[in-house]
Amino acid sequence: MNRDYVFIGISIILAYLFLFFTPYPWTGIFAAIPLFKLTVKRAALAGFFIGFSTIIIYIIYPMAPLFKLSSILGTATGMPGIVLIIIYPLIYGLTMMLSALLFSDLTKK
Amino acid sequence: MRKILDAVIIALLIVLSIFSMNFSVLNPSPGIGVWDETLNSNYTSQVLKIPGLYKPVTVKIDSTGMAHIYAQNDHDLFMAEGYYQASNRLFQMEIQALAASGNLSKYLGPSYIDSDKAMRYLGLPYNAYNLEIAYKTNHPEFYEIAVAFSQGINSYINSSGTPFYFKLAGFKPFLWSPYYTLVWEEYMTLSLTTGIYEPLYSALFYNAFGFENSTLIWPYYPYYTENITVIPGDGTVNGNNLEKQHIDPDYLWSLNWYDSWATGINTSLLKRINPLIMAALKNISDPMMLPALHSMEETIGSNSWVVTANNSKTGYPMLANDPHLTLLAPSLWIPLNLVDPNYNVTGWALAGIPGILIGHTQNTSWGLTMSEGNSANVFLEIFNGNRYLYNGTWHDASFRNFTLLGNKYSIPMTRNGPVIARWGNFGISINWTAQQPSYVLIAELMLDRSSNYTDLMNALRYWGYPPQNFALVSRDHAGYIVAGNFPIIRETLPDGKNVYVVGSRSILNGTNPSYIPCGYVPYQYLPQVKDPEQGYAFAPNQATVGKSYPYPFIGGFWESGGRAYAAWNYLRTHQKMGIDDMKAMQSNVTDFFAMKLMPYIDNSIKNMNMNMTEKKALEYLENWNFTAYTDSVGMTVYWYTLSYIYNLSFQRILDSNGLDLLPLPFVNTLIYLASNYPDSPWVNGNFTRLAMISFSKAVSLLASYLGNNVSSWTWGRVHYLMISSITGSDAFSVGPIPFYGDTNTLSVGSVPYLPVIPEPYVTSSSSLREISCPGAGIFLGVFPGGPSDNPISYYYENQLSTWLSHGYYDLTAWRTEVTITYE
Repeated sequence: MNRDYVFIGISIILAYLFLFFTPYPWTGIFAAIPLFKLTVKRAALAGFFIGFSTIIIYIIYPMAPLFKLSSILGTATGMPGIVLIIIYPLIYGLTMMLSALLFSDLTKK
Repeated sequence: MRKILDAVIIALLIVLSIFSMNFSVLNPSPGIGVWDETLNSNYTSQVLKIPGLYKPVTVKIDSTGMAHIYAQNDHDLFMAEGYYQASNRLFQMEIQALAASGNLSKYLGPSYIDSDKAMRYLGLPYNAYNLEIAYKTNHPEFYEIAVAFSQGINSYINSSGTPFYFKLAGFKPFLWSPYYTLVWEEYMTLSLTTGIYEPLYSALFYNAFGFENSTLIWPYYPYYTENITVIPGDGTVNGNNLEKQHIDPDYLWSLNWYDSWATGINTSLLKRINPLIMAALKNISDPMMLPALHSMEETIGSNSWVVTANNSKTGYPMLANDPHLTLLAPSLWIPLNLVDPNYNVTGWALAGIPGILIGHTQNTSWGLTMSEGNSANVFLEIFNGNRYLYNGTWHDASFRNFTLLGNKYSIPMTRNGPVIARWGNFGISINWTAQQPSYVLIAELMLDRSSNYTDLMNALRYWGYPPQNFALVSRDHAGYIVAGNFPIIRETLPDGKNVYVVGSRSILNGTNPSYIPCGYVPYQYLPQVKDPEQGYAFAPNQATVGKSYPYPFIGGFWESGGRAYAAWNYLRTHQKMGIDDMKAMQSNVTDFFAMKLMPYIDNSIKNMNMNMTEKKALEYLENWNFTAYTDSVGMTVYWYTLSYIYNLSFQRILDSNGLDLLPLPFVNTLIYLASNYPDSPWVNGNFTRLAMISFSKAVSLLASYLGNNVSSWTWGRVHYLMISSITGSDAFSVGPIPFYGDTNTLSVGSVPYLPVIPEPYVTSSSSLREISCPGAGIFLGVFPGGPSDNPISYYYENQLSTWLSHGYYDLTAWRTEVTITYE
């Protein structure tokens, strides 16, 4: 159990490093590698929550301008502004979840 | 089973990864996604390190968004200006530079290929290249200013990462150089040049309808305006006029200037090359033309007027200017005050160009409107393979070769200029002043440090193109000069006399040296007036100068004069003008041509059988005071009636001749026909009947869209302003906003004569408003936008509401909001 926390910690660090230094959410695949030691269910849950937790980054931005910008971009893309705010962390979370699920499953065979 | 599950997960991951590639700009990390734009939405006081500055520079941003840049030398001043412009407008500047240099498709894809080809046909990239060499060689001290400006832009690029719009567009900024400044200058020149498109349109009209109709529909001087020229009087300039050359102006202006004696091309040949003319127009029609393509149509224009000290309540000369350009978000303009030991100038710079183009010093002020006299000419060329005929002998054409998106193109060059279209053995070339270097930047910077009227006039000796009506005031004097290079052609009149003329009504014979420009109008004989006796002068794009002018503007494609007529009506009825009068004129929405046309419409329709809605609409029309405010109902009824008149007459006739691309005649032509030739085929043989049908159709259309309650048919429900984003996306645009004005009002809100609801959006209007009285120290200004390109910034459109309500900012009384130090 304690060892799980270590792997989760490493995964969190990798997830945020990739987030800060690369533009693409598929990098979540690599951030999920340390989760292979967890059970399949735990790996999937941890992967999703680590990835989606990056939504917290938005606290560095002033809220009113953030929503205004998302609204403008939403008009430009034909999507609701709020979707544009959550879509990256959501995809990042899903990518990590599926990757962790895969890695965990493969190592359990 | 587990293998299948794993395979499904892998497949999902692949799909998700590919799908998510599009979302990289939404990464929440600062510096990677677009969200850090929210951290830059307001200006903040700070110290910025800018390598290359000699000494620290202070930038104070006031509550209107104007930046006051204080430097200790010229290099630092213009470097700081470059940095400041880039920090607010880099994307706009680079898109403009790409458009002008014919490189948009390289960055934005194949849909921009026609724009790129048009720029290269017209020669802009090559002209700018030659101009840069000329500056380096002949005026290195001014070239250094362009270099310093570029250094400032590049310092910003190197320090800023990838700015917001570049992330969205998917490319990184390229480094700036003086070439890009000059090529953008060329682009602005093109958009304000007369003589490229107009003779082609004019030739098509002449081919279809002949001389009598050409002179009836497109008279050399538009109806009712020949006595309200920019330069007051009969056209005599510095003692020179046609009479001095023993030429009778009435004779000269009665001639058929489309005829072969004037153009070197006989009527049957001109008719034969219609397909070539069409091809030429197609090749040089640029879909990206930002500042609104100029044509004979009343689409863009500008206003300015000056009042002499004698007519001014302040006791000093005054000036007003509002140039009409396409309104963009962000604006083409950026407000600035530049201060160093040599400069103290305030006004508006064109983003991408150093200095201030329109503005004031402490002792002078100036404004610009378009002169509509030809500074370009189009020529018919005769080819034999790649050889062209000139003066009886064949010459090898040279070629400009270029590649766009892997495809190779080649543009033949004759001694006249680039060939913009070929058809059989014929070609059309253009020759315009911008093909020769002219030092507009020098003129601008000399204006920026002028301290008296003589300085202003001396500065404009350097102004080559595009020719502009320069309104000038100093503490003591007021006046105009139509500055720029006007190419002159030595014509032999049918009576055997010779005269130098500016431009042509049609295409000229490029094989015959007789029709090739042989110089420019000398500076001393450019149309000009200082302290006009009548106490005022005005230049809303009407005819430049009277019919006795020694260099007749045969290629003078003046606008209707509707706004000039309105300015003249105000100025002549106000013996003493105050600052409030200057404001009142700029906000004036009275359509004087409507005042002239309405009696004819009213007489035509008032006795017709009407339903209740039509009776009510007529009541509004008859009680209308000819103003185009947003709450005016009469304006709406008038405009839609007028639109149907155009639609059922002029437009129908042009369409039936395959000439739907031609501009529609001015409303003063319609007034002339209604009053003098009401049975003309141009008004369907019966103006009364045409007006009745048009009124009925207008009321029916309005009722079907707006309901039967006529009192609700306000102008603001059908007439909107749209300030479009340079990105082309509505999300970054401002509007639609219910808008006042029409084509002929000083506060302009031009829309085409189309019977559709709502009207097509107004996209070009007063791009800034300036009122100056240096003697009294009064300087007012406003523009429809803000300095920033950040769409969530207060400074994106902070001056818009003031501009919409015809308010002004006092440019001398400002309060520092933010101080930024560059060091």
